[in-house]
Amino acid sequence: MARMKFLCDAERCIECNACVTACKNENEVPWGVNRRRVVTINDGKPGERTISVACMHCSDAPCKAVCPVDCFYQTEQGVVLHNKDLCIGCGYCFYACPFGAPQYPQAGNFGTRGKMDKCTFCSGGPEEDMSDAEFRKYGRNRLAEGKLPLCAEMCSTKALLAGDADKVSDIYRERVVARGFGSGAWGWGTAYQTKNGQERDQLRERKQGQ
Amino acid sequence: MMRGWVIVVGCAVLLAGCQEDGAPRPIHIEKGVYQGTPDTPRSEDELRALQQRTATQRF
Repeated sequence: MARMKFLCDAERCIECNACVTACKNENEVPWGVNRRRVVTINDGKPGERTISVACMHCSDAPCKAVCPVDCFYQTEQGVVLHNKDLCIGCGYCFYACPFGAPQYPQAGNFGTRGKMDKCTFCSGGPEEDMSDAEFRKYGRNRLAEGKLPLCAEMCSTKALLAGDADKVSDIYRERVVARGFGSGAWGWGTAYQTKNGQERDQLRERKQGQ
Repeated sequence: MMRGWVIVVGCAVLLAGCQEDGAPRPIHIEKGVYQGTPDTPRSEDELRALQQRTATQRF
């Protein structure tokens, strides 16, 4: 199986914010934290587009690279997760993330932010699958239930796609062919490709093989 | 004399808190290595089911 990825088709997104609501409701995300947001580009101008943004689960995640306590790990399917027991809430990942995904539930005295919270691709955390502890800390583990992230599954226009990268890119490719143009797979270049356009996953596999 | 003993006992208690076995988090960090609880991997069947579910997003 290829890795898990999100893809937002900007031509289909109608800015309904249902993905944001679904995510908050499914994972019982605390006040002040939005794991997913809908962003408008060129607001009110020709070429206005909206995209749904959350953690893109980057191939070479910058949050993981900068974390001083190494609380991040990547599953075999490429989902970037973190351990809240190890997180010290320093905020480095927030500054490193190109998508603004890491969020902090508190703004207390002495700069305390609380444990970082971000999209888990609905796959929970390191706690026991589908346990109360896992739900309280990380939200629902839908992958363990055989389901995909709710934001994508309930998207009414199927602008937001999630799951196996091969299938997701096949679906998007078919759409581009059918309508004769594409709007670019927003965020894919930043999350999954190197500057010279090579896929980061392939590059990593090649390095490991050497 | 008594104060000295209190300080010594206090220091001993504080140092005991630095024991790696008793600490709730890893004390020695190896850069780039995740030392927390490992996650449960998904089985082949689960992955196949997820792959099929991904294909249902086509319309």
